[in-house]
Amino acid sequence: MHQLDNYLLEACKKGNRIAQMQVYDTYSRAMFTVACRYLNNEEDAKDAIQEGFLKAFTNIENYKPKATFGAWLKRIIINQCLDVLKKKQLKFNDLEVSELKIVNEEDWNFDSRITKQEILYAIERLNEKHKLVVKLYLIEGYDHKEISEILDIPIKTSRTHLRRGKLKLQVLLKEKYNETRY
Amino acid sequence: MKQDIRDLFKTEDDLKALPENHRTEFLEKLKTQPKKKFTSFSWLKIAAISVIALTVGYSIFMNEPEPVLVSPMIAQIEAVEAEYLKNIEAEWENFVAIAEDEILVARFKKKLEDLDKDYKENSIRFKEDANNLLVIESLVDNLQTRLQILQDIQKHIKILNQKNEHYENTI
Repeated sequence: MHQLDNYLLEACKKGNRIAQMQVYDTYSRAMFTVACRYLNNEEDAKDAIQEGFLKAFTNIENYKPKATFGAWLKRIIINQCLDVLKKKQLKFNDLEVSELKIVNEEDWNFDSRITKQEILYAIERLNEKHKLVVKLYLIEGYDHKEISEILDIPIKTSRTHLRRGKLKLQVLLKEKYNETRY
Repeated sequence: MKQDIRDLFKTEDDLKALPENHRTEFLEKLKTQPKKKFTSFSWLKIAAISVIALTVGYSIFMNEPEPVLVSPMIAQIEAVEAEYLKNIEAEWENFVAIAEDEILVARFKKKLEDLDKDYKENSIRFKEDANNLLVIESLVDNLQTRLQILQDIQKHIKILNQKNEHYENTI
């Protein structure tokens, strides 16, 4: 995502509405796309990003240029979506034990005939917790430390969910291609 | 053939389109937000803007001719300006008194002069169109920025001095 120019940022810090609208216009579609991955209803997703933008503007002083503005914003939007999900009673069970199985976490090699769209459909079929962690890791590109902060769960739990999510994904996609290797 | 599916998600293609009217809706939400936190002199700014808004409102309501509308506004702005300049001057003197670094003083002098130049340009625009709230806001902002940078640097100098003192004491 491109870098927001300083002038615009300064104007936003001063609470300039025109500048804020400009930032909104720059990022709203990308953020809406992100939000739609977590909230099924487009209306909810729109409300969530707008709420997220408002929070971002109120807390714009906390933005540090070490990350891109887009990345900073995305984190806020995702948190906002998760808040909505939490209200809909999604609970993470931290007691879920991680099995002592050595799986190569870095191996995400799937049959190359599988398309992005098919993967996205398969992800939607995972259970809620696995789905979230897989999305945050695979699509948004967060690491386990970041995921554990976002979801407020231990890193170990994040790893477990991801591992199970991946295994399930492989099963789901295997059905389709009848891949024997997995 | 295998592919690392993480690579598939490195780029974000086909963005989704937002529902219609989302912009107007957001603008409405923005407007209901409380304004930014107050800095020490922002009451002056608020006072200035509200006086101007009242004057404009009053004049429109009374349907008075244009010249009568403009002059009280300019007078108000000038009063605010004088108040600010007095404060800025005082802060400047404080600053020069505590700053022991000529380069620093010169740098701030330059900063203030630049701001003053901007201010003069905006003043001309203000005289041309005294009803433009954006111009008025930029004038007040300019004065406030000057005050703010002077206060900030003084705070900084004070902290430095305290640290030095502390350091000397520990030796």
